[in-house]
This record gives sequence, structure tokens and C-alpha cells, in this order.
Amino acid sequence: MPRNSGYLLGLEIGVRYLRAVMADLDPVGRLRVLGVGEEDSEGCRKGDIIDVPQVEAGLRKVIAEAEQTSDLEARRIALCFSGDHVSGFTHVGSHPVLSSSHEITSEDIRLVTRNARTLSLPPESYVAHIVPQLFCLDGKTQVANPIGMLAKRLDLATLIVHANQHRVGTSVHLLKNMHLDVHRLVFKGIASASTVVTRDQEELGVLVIDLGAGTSDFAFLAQGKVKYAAAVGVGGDHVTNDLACALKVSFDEAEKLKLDYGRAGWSPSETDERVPLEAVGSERTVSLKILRQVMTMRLEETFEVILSDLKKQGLESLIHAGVILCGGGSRVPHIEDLASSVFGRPARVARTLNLQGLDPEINRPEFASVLGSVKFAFAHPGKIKEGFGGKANSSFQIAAKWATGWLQRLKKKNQHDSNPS
Amino acid sequence: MKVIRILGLGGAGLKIASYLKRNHPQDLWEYWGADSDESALGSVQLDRKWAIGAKSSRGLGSGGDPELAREWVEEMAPDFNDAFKDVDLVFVLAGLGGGIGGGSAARISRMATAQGAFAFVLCALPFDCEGARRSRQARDAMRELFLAADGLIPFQNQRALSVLGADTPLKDALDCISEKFHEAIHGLVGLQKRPAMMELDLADIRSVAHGSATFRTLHSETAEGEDRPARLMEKLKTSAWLSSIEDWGQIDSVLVGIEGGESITMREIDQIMEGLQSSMPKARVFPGAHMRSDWSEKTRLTLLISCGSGLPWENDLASPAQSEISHWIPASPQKQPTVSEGWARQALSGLEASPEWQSEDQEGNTSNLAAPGSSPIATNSGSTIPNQSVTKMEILEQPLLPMDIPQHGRFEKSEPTLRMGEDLDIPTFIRRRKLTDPSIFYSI
Repeated sequence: MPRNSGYLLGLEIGVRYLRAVMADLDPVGRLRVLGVGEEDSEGCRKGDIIDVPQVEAGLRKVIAEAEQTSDLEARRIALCFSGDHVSGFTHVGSHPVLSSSHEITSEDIRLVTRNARTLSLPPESYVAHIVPQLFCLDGKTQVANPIGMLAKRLDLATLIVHANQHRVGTSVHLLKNMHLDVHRLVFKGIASASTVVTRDQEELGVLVIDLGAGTSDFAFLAQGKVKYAAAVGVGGDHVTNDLACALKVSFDEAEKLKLDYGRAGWSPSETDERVPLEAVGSERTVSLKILRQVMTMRLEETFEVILSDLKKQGLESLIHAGVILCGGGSRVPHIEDLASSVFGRPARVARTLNLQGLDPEINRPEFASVLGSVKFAFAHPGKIKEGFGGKANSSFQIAAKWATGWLQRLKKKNQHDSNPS
Repeated sequence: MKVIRILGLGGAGLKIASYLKRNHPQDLWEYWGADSDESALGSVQLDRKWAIGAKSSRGLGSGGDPELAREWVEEMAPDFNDAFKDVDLVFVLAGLGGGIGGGSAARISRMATAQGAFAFVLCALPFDCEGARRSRQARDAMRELFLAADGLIPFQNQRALSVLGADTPLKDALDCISEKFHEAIHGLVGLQKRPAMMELDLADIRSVAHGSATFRTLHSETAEGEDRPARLMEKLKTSAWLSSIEDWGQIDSVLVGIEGGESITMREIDQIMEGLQSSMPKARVFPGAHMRSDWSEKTRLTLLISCGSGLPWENDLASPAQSEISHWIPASPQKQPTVSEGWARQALSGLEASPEWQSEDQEGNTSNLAAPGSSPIATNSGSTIPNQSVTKMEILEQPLLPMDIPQHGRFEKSEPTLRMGEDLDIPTFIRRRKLTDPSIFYSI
């Protein structure tokens, strides 16, 4: 019997790590961390699942870990998702104020919000977030809350963050099959932003970039609202892959070199150091200068892609409070210098805020997204649609599937035995 | 006689153009200038001046915004097109860190080439102390210029500082930079002077000066008296301006202009050429020689050197230890690519500033699989569509399809991540070809 029913399990299916955090709200409304799980992830590329059974095995482990540390049973999940398919745009809905006095009532707000949500997207799109921005009265005055004001027409601009329905649905379906209820889906960029940004920064205009292994997700916040959020399918794995190609080493060796010697930024005048590879029997050494050059180029390009996206939205000049970096990529030494040179704004690595019971183990920028997904789910109650991600397979279906597989294997084995050649 | 025009763009360009007109005037040349800052325009003596963005700028500068400059120049396209008619050779001078110089040089070069002129850009890259933003703008402008101009010689201001010493008065340093521009312009004009004993033409210059290079310069040395070839070689090797070339073997292509008095012998030319060939065995050499009747015991050697691909990284050449100049990509089209191949390449990369693609065969000879080129139609500006009646040169030149298969490594089978027309799954260093150590490309 759970001692407390108001808790959620935040879950992130990352490309390199699976992370789970069991948390609830303390009486003051701060997030209280109850349990944590972290496991290596297999079977994901660029934010998408490519091997379901492998991911499922990992999820079982990481959820068990979080359950053990918190002594609670995981039920409701706030899942944070990402992928190159996630992007955002602003949509405007309008509504005529029909009452004779033209006073705007909560009913008008409800109707204009409904209109702003009505949009034609491709059938495979899943709208993950709808963030109302400013209300506009008669196409002129912009106000935060128009109730009680007079106007003929009410417009509402909303940020729509959408993703591919099937890719997001895959993880939801997978969790449903594990008898877990995905309560809320949160885009990773928005999730990270909700833990690392202070109120002042949020008002002034701040860019949060979560540098994950598979994707780099970002959210731009200003005037207390998420103004834009999107993902780029380039992450730490790309850095490692570049290094593997450049230095002619295996992916794992490249990963190790990146963690041990990686740095953002290099200077041509620095003397070149060479470090030996750790592979058995190898006498090769690799140049640190090239390693850093390759790495810098990739990271710089990732920032440039994000900057060009923001430029397209006309937001790049509004980043007054600077850039905040989180995710595993933010552990690269001097990454903040590189970011500030690309964005022309001060940049820093995130600290998680407003948390209680925070174990030093998870007070790391990598946990920003998973903590953020729980925080977001508490802050924005509501639930994803019942049918999203398809129906879970019933126990009978699972048993039948297993039995069919078992019979087939048995059949194959018999055939094999009868034809020893 | 060729019609030659010097056009200074932006603050730095105007200053250099007026310096050239003041100190080295040539009767048949015209010195032009264009800027948005009216007071800067008013303060220089030039033959023809344009106020860029006169309506929108209110007589002020662009505030360091190249986008604004681009827009303004587009508005003035008809004026420039008129001016470039019947011009053979335009030298565009610009400082790339700012707005007007960086933003308009490429557009104006395209306008000039579309009118059939040969556009040669000489640009000054910002000092290191001018900050990262200006360097970044300069780099973006360079990427565009490599494709737009027929020839480009970037000049590193920081390099002048390291050659002259940090204590040189500012005016002397700036004059020295202007003087280098003068040397380059006169060197280039002198190289293709007719009649000559061994002729060089604009196409030869283009072969060496077109496309990207990590290091490109024009340098002259003069020797008098006895044993001139040996002395010239000695001077070249010890010149401070060429000291950043640590390994001469890495030079891709070189244009050699030898000027001598009437007494110049075949033996002398032979010795000079042999000296150069032996120190730069991999380079493609374009030799030229002509006689000066007014000289007797004097020989001048002018070299246009190009090595490496990519951009001169702001610190690369400033640091004396630039040992790893890539010997990749002499940016010289050996064959004219056909339009259809060009479009295919364009469709594949979708890039304006696409890198050149090269391969190296087993004997170690570099061979061009594709040449860089300007693609006036594919770029989005309306003014760059070539004028069909006047085409003195092949303008519609586009790069070939790359022959090497892009590497994705781990992301081979996943859905490509396409942004800004590039496949981001391919390692950045392969797409940008910017590494200073070429050895890592050998097996790619």
C-alpha cells in the first residue's frame, strides 16, 4: 500500500541512459525527490526507439531501481520525449465577442482557446503542447488576461509543439504493455526549462538547451511563457561518431576519449599532445588537437543550427537573460564559452532549482529533463488522451503471443534435430 | 588594353581605394567607392561614388549588419549592372568584419561577373582584437565570396601585426596593409601584361585564386646584380610575409611571374623555376615571363600561392606554428562541369557555400573530382541571373557531384537529420573540410 498517492514517476528514455525519478510535491509546492534510477540505455538512436525488447528490459531495471529507492510502486508516469521530429510553431485563433456589451467572459476565453487549438496538421502529428501566449484585443492591444475587458474580436496566439504520433506512441504503448499509465507527455526541452530557469530569467528571455546523447532540445522562454521549443536530431552520439571517423577508432573508444579528453574550443597555437589508446595490443596514439577540433566543430554547428532556427522565428534578439545548458553535453569543459561565442550572450551550465530531498547524485545537469517532466506534470494537471499509444495488450494476448513464439521455436528445434546436417 | 576598375566597399574598402588613388594613381584606371555612410563617402576622393541604401540608412552606416547591406545592395542592382558593362577587370576591396564590406562584396562580385567582368576580391580580415562576432561575420562572408568571386585573396590584418611588430604606429600599420593591397593589384595586373615571352592570362589567375584556401597570398621579390636566381630564392625563404608557410611542399598551386631586363637568359628562368619546383613538388605551376626594356640587371619574381582548402581560421595564420596546411584541393576547375551535373550536386547538397570534394588516388596525386564554382541561378538573388548578351567568361559553372560516399558511421541506416540543406549525420569535419591536419582524410 503506497504511503502517499500524489507521487509520479518521471521517466526519460534516453539514447545513452534511461532515467527515472520518483517524486511528489511537499506542502509548500516544491518538488520532493523520493527515489532515483539510472541505467545504460540500448536500442535507441537519435531519440527514437529502434529495438523495443531491449528498451523494455532496460526500463524494467530502471523502474525497479526507482521503486526500490523510494519504496513506492510506479503507477503514473510523466514521460519526457524527444526526437528530430519535434518542432514548434505559433498558431493564432480568433473569436468574435458576441455579447451586447462586448465584455470578455471566461466563456470567450474558452472558445478562443478552442479555436486556437483547431488546426490542420498532418494526420500522423501529435500535438504535445499548446501554450497560450498573449491575447490580442481587436488586433491591437496585447494583454495577458482579458477577462472583463471590452473588445469586438479576441485573438489568441498559441505555441503548438508537435511530434510524430507513432514515434511518441511507441514508448507510450511499450509502457502500457508494462502496465504503467503514462499520465503526461512532456517535450524534453520544455521539461528541462521548467527546472533550470528562474522566474527573472523566464521573464527576461532565456534559451535553454538540453544537449542529450541523441538529440539537442531547446526551449526559448520569455514573459513567463514558453515562446518556442524544438529539437535537433544531433547530440553527443554525433560527437562520438565524428571522433570515431576522424581518429579511426571504434565507437566505444571514441566515447571514452571524448569523456576523458574532450573539450569545446581549441587554439591553433596550443602544442599538440598525443594520448595512447587503451585498446589491448594497440600502440597507436591520437592527437588531442584533432580530437578537440572535431568536437568543437560539431558542437559549434549544433549551436549554429539552433541559432538559425531561432533567427527564423525572429527570437534571437530577445535572449536577454542568456543561454542555459543542461543535459550530458553540458559537462564538456568550456562548453559555455563556445555557446556564448555562438549566441553572443552569456551562457552557463544549469543548476536544478526548487527541489527538496535532492541527492547529490542527481543534482546533475543530466537530470534536468526527467525532474522537469515531473515538475511540469504537477504544474499542468491533466492527462493525455485515453487511446493514445493504442490499447495495451491484455494478459491473454501476451500469453498467446508468448505461446505462439514458444511453439515456433519448438518446431524449429525439432526440425533442426531431425536434420542434423 | 583592359578596362580596369578598383571598387572599395564599406569603410575599410573606401580607405584603401582612396589610398591607392592618392599614392599610386594610374591614368587609365578608375577608382570607385560604395558605402552607406555618407560622411565616409564625402571624406574620400574617388572617381565615382555610390551611397548604398540611401533611402533607408539615413546617411549612416549599416551598424555592422551584413543582412541589411545585402538588402540595400540588391536595391541598387541596376546601377551596379550599368557600371560594370564594358569593364574587363574589377578589383573589389573590402574589410569583411563589418556590415557593408562583408554583406555586399559577394553580391557585387556576382553582379560584375554576370556583366562579363572578371571580379577579383581583395579582402582584409579583422584583427583578433576586434572580437569573435566580427571574425564570425568575416568567415560567413568568405564562404560566400569563395563561390561568388573569380579570385579572392584574403589578407589577415593580424598577420601584418605579427610581421610589423606590435609597437608599430597604427597609421603605419594601416598604410602597410593598404600597400599590400597595392602590391597585390599591381602584381596581378603585371602578371598578365602583354606582350610577354611566356604568357599568363586571367584564366590562369583564376585557376590559382578561385575557390577556398586556408592560405593564399601574392608576394613579390626583386633582386639585382649577380646570381639573381639564388638570391630570389633566399629572399622568398626568409620573407616574413611567407613565414607562415612552414612546409612549402604543401602548396597546391602557384602562379609564377618573372620580369627581367633584356639581358635575362633562359638559364636564369630555368634556375628560378627549378628552385621553385624542387621546394614545392606537389604544386601546379603556371609560369609566365616578360621583359622590361627599362631594366638591365634586375629581376622581379611575383608569386601567387594557394594552399589548403577551407577558411583561413582567424588564428591559424596569426600563429607562426601553422605546420599543418592541408594540401587538399587546389581550387581549380580542370574541366567545365555541365549544367545538369551541377544541378544534381545542388539538389544533393542544397547549399550555396558547398565545400569542394576531392579524392586522392593511391599514387598520392591530388585530383579534382569537382570544382567549386559560382552558381548564379541557384542562388536566391534575382540580380545574379547572367546577362545573356554579354558573357565573356563561363559564368554558369557549378560543382560536380561528389564521388566519395559520405560517411554516416553509426547513423548509417537511420533517418537523416537534414538542416540548412546539410545532412547533419555526416561528421561536421567532413562536410566543412576544415581540419588543419590532412592525414586523417587519407582513408575517407
